[in-house]
Amino acid sequence: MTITVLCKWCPDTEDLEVGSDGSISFERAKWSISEYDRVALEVATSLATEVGEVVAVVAGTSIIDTSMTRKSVLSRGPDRLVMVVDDRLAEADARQSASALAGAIARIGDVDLVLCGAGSTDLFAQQVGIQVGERLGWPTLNEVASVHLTGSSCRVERRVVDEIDTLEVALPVALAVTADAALPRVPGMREILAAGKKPTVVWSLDDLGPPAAVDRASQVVSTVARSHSTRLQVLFEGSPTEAAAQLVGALRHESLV
Amino acid sequence: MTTTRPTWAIIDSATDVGVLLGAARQLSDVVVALVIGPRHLVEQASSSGFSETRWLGEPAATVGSEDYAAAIAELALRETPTAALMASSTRNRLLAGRLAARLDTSALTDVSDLRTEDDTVVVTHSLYGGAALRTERLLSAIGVITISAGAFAAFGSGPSWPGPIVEASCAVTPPPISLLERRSEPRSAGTLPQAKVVVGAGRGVGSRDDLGVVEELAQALGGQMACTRPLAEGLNWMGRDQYLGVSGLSIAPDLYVAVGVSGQMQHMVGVDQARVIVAINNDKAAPVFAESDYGIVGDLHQVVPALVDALKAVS
Ligand SMILES: Cc1cc2nc3c(=O)[nH]c(=O)nc-3n(C[C@H](O)[C@H](O)[C@H](O)COP(=O)(O)OP(=O)(O)OC[C@H]3O[C@@H](n4cnc5c(N)ncnc54)[C@H](O)[C@@H]3O)c2cc1C
Repeated sequence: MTITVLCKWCPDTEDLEVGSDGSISFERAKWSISEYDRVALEVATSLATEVGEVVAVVAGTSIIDTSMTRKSVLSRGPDRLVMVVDDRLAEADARQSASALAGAIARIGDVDLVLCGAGSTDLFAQQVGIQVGERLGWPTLNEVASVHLTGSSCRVERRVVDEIDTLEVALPVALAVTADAALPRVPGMREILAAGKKPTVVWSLDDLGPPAAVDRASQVVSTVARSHSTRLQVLFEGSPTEAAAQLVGALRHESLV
Repeated sequence: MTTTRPTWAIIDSATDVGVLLGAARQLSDVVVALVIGPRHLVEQASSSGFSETRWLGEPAATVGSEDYAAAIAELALRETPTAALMASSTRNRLLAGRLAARLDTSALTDVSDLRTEDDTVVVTHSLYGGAALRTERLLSAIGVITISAGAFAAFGSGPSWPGPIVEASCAVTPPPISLLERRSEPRSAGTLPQAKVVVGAGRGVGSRDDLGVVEELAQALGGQMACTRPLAEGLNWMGRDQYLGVSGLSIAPDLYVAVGVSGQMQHMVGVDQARVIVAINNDKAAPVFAESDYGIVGDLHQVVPALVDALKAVS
């Protein structure tokens, strides 16, 4: 049995810098595995202690092709890593990412289960896992809170509005898991060292199964910092009682109490 | 400006009818409702001002709107609407992704603005945890779009105008998925968007028992409780319909009090429209203070009871 986990390598949104003209830059940002994909890695790894192999797949421009990316992903449990590195994936939209990832999965072959996080830290469109599943022609579910393998099928819990469904799905299947589906590990020194010895292959878009989409389905017109209200930023210090009295005074002044 | 091609609104819930019509009218004067649901939903849609209401069918318990992807994609390829719009629910996000893959486009999700320029669709949505706004121009023939909750005003022509209903039931192959059990999860009151005063609890609260302290503050202010995402998803101390932020609710109360909340952008965009924001946090460097009008630096376990006492003293 082969489980594939889709991981996005993305800039930390906290490191976003905003220029005086509202322009934004990630020039000095740290990059890391998208927060919720770490959950998917953990789910995959816990399933794999029962069966088979876990292959992580990361797609992106040459910015992802570093030993830091490899170690970061492989120290979180997968047995090996497939990287789709291609500069035509700059600013990739869900269609491009999904078509590259589906192509990689086709080339890996005999994959039974595809897992990914709910959405990526940067775009959070919550689309790529779904579109990968549909492109592969597999049953696909989002908002999956737990996964158990039962031979040739899997049993999942899916959260839909105010209901939780327990579902049985025949493999192969693609699942986007919720943020609380597992508690992601913090890799230790031993895991990071072991990661260095695990195999990685690097493919370009031209190496994949079906040809991947190389253009965006939409043209980006502008990306600007969101303006937000400026606040008074008054701090009340002193003892809790003094500070509380001052705050209540301010709230009365604002006619809020 | 709008296009001459019709725009589709895919409706599977009564709450979305007016808003989807309002959003779709930003693109076309001709808006066709594709309804997945019971007869009363079709009737509601047909009397809301759509040019035409098509009834795709009433799904069986084990089928959701997502399972209509193949049928809707086929219809879309035949008729080439400007775009298919839907609300941003779990099922509709899945439907959008499946439709987009079949139409070889990329879904445009959680859009807060929609228009046409030179007969092409232009949308705006937030990204980077709400820190930025992106405007994009659709290049594919048909757009697949989910709309951001609260971003569009409902279009209401009143119930006086029943438009035509077309029975267009389509064949849905049930997915190879069996439903073993369905349990309902309790929801909270669901009146948070209307609340004038909201107190939001964050991870700084420390334990589920300590939430009581924060609840007392909400009571003393006559407000409602909300929280950050980790409290609703992960710690499960509060309901999933109670967290605020980019992936949760956006509210615009007169007063928002953030207690033990660090103030990450993903949370703060949900309360940016509050008139006054107050923060209580023991870390003077917490980003929440820069996003607040008034702040108290201190341990919430001391500050909140003191605040409750001070409020009682003035009321
Ligand atoms: C794609 C994506 C989407 C997200 N969407 C959302 C969203 O919609 N909504 C949301 O809320 N989050 C969202 N998040 C998570 C968000 O980034 C933050 O992690 C989260 O908001 C932090 O929650 P918090 O403030 O409760 O916890 P923390 O960041 O852990 O902050 C706790 C705060 O409490 C303070 N504190 C601790 N002890 C005390 C004490 N005794 N007294 C006073 N203060 C104390 C600390 O100083 C700290 O500032 C999202 C994340 C991602 C990646």
